[in-house]
Amino acid sequence: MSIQEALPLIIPIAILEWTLAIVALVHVLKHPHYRFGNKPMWIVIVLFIQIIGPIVYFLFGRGRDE
Amino acid sequence: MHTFLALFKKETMEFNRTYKFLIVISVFMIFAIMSPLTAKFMPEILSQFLPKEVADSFPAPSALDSWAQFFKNFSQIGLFVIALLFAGTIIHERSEGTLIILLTKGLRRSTVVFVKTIFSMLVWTVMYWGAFGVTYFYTWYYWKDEHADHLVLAVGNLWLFGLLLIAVILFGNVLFKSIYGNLLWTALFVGVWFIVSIFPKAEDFNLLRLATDGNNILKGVNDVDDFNWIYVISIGLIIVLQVLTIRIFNKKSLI
Repeated sequence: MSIQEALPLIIPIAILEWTLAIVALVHVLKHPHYRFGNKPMWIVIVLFIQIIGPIVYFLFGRGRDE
Repeated sequence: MHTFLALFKKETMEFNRTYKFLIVISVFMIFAIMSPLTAKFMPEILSQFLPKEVADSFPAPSALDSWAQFFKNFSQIGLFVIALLFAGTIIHERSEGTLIILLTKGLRRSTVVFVKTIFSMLVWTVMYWGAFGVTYFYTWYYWKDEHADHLVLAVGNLWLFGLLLIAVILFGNVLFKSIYGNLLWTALFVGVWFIVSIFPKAEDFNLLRLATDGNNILKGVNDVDDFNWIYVISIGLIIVLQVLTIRIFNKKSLI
């Protein structure tokens, strides 16, 4: 199977992964209080660990909204 | 009914504001699309590690492989994400004292448990069948002339297992004060059924088969009659767990 055949699968996955990453990145930048860790650490995690990174940030790293 | 709807709305808003909708939608959709993708690319992946002759000897991927990936993904990662998202649904309310005002104003505790159960089960149901639809579409798109028999039975079994797991998680929510305690309890519950599955005699009663036998159903090894007792036990267990959850929550202090 060629890459072209797989495009209908790969494009939506890429869109979903990047939506997660970008929403998480915006949140990291706008809310500089985290339960642990610091801003550069969360930026790296959110951008470079696909899927898991943003989920870990939202569930465990995100500070309270205040 | 009015309080039910108001609480339900509050749950939805909270789920949205804590970005849980985003998480559950993207994870479920990604794995729904990943299932046919992995199945389709498996020969290429294998040929990276294995000698060419060995890799070529494997049969070409079929629609059944796509569904095998679906069952693997959702019985493991899908259920794990659901457990993570709902492990703290009552625990958080208690640790932050957010229910105190509502309960002193006359809200019944059973309503709280009931709404949370319905909400969690609804999220699982909508997301899971949505993911099923996506995988179904792609499997049809790539393997147009192949047809999987008993698909709804196989997929429905895993769905029922998800409902059971949610009942277990909600029960853990009133038993424990920490999310980790609850996750451990849920893992223990699944672990017990893993031990039960060692014994061949317990086959007819082993609830874990709801999650693990999807491929066998598609291959025609198992059929709906093999699951009669399992359905009775799991639906019974969901009801018993729900009643116990309400009973215990009624006796718990709020902080």
